[in-house]
Amino acid sequence: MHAHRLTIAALLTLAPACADDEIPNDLGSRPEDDVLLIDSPILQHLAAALEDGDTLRASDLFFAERLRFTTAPDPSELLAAQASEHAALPPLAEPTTLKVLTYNTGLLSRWYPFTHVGVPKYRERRAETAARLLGDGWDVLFLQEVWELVDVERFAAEAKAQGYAIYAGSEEKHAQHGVVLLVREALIAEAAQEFVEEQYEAQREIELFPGPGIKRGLLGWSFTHAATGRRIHLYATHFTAFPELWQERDVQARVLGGRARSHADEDVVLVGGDLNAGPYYPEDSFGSDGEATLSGWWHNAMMYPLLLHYGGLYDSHSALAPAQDVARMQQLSLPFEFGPYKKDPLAGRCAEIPVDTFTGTDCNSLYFGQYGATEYPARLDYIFVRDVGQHVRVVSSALEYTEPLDFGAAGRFELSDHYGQSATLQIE
Amino acid sequence: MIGPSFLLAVALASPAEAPADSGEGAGAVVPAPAATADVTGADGAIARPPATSPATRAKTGRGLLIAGGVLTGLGVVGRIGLEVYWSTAAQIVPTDPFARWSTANLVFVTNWNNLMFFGPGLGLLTAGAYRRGGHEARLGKVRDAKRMRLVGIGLLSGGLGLWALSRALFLPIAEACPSNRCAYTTLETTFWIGTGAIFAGAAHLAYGTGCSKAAAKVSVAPSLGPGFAGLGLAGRF
Repeated sequence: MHAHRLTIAALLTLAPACADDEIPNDLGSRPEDDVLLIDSPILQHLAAALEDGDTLRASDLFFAERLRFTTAPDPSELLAAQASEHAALPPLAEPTTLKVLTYNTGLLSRWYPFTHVGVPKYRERRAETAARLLGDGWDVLFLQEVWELVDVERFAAEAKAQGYAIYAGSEEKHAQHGVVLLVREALIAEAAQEFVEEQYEAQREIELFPGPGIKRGLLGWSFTHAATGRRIHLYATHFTAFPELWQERDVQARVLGGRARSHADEDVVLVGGDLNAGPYYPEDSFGSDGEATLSGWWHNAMMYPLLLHYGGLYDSHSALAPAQDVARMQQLSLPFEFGPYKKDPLAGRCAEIPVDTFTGTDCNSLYFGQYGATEYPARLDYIFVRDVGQHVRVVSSALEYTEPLDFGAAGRFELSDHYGQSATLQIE
Repeated sequence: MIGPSFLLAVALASPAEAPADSGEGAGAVVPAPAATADVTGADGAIARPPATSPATRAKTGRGLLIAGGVLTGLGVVGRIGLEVYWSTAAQIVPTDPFARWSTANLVFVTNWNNLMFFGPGLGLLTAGAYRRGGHEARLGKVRDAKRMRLVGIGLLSGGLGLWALSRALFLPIAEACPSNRCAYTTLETTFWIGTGAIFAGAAHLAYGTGCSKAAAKVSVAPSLGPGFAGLGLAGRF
């Protein structure tokens, strides 16, 4: 992964013409753009952390030069508010259950000049992933990093055997975004289905070429829920990675949020994906490649509220009780010191930190092997709900596939370098 | 234009008459004529001394051939290195189908090596072979230049055809292939065969052309006259 980063850095240096414009083309065209941070329960914790935050609007968050963080944006109130709002909802009369999983499968192994980027144990894991995931009873699966068409075919074959419908987009674009959606066939009513495949304008273009052929995007799938007749819209996505690329992610969040908000209020929208940023980072500096410590983490805390804001969404993992992002981050050994974090995952604190929040963490051996000591652990994978008509309740939320598995002669390791995020929903 | 014949004993040309960089000076570039003073022919005629008299090195093509060989060698090493990379560090699964997304990177890395090394190497080797052909013809080495040119044209055409066709049709071929092993083997086999034929063909053609041109411009013939005997050399000035 270091080689990957070094190559990216070198290519960035050599290719100034590839500089991206991260400002949305239509910024200012939506009512959400003009909202003052202090007027939004979702964004106001950003205002408190920014110099002149009381004068900034949502649209200002896309301009790096307008953002001077003075402290860590603390989403505690936002997380608590989501839980309290959900708790205030009346019970549903005749709900049916929908088990939803989002999972970055980490099926990545690609070459480009002159390096390789991949998640360890690719060959062993991919042989297991499809059968294991589709055999675990999920109704809806949002999958990321199923990059290769040959792996999509594995999922398609398993889907056919297990009674799932699958949508992975077009062959050409799929190989660039790697996203897959699966829905249990029995849940899909006769009514027309709609499919969407979109690749974001905001990209780190060098990821596509001469990088590993990646162009971030989303898949959408609309269908009528057979049991309830409710129209459900699914969006699966995988945002741009790397903490320094927060601007790309924020623009992508605005696009995705717009998609989610575009549907009728009586419909249900579920968004699942690896969004590559967490809601909270206690210190602005964390992680090192052994030389400089990486700064700028507070900017990464904007993606989460921006997506909630633009999409009118709530976080299923913070519906039953406030998500524990702040508490878990405060369990880390801070300030960051490279030596201890490089020596042991999370500087030896994995046993103390409950596996209930961070989906990307050095406590995962595959993650540690790639990113060890270079990044914060964080909640990167989410299931969001847009439910204006209040037809959905969250009944459980948990991290999945957190334990190492026995891969025989290859050893014991996790199914992916991410943990899965699940939500069991009731829907009427 | 074929110029007048001179006696072989006479300086054939001065640098002023045949620029040293002409490369095809034929008889115009003969090593170190001992013509620093008037030379008297057997018939008593006085030949004009050269206007200048620095020693002129023969254009044998050796330097070009060496430079071209070095660059081509680097290209070969680079290409083999690329193949080693594909089969090891790139972690390409041999049994997987070819991944279309990698086409842009394939084009990039292979042509980078071609443009950096093989292309310039081919140019230098071709120029060197051309000069070598001319040089050896002037030394009187007998070659079937016409045959060499024909062989060269055949190899060059075949090599270029194979290279162009295999690249133009690479995606359909790769997608028809059941595996990466098949796709990459096709890519590399056609590369080596095509490149080998292109280099061999270009060298043959250039060498044969160099021979022919030199032979056309320089003719050596016995020359007899009242009071002298020698060889006459005809060349272009």
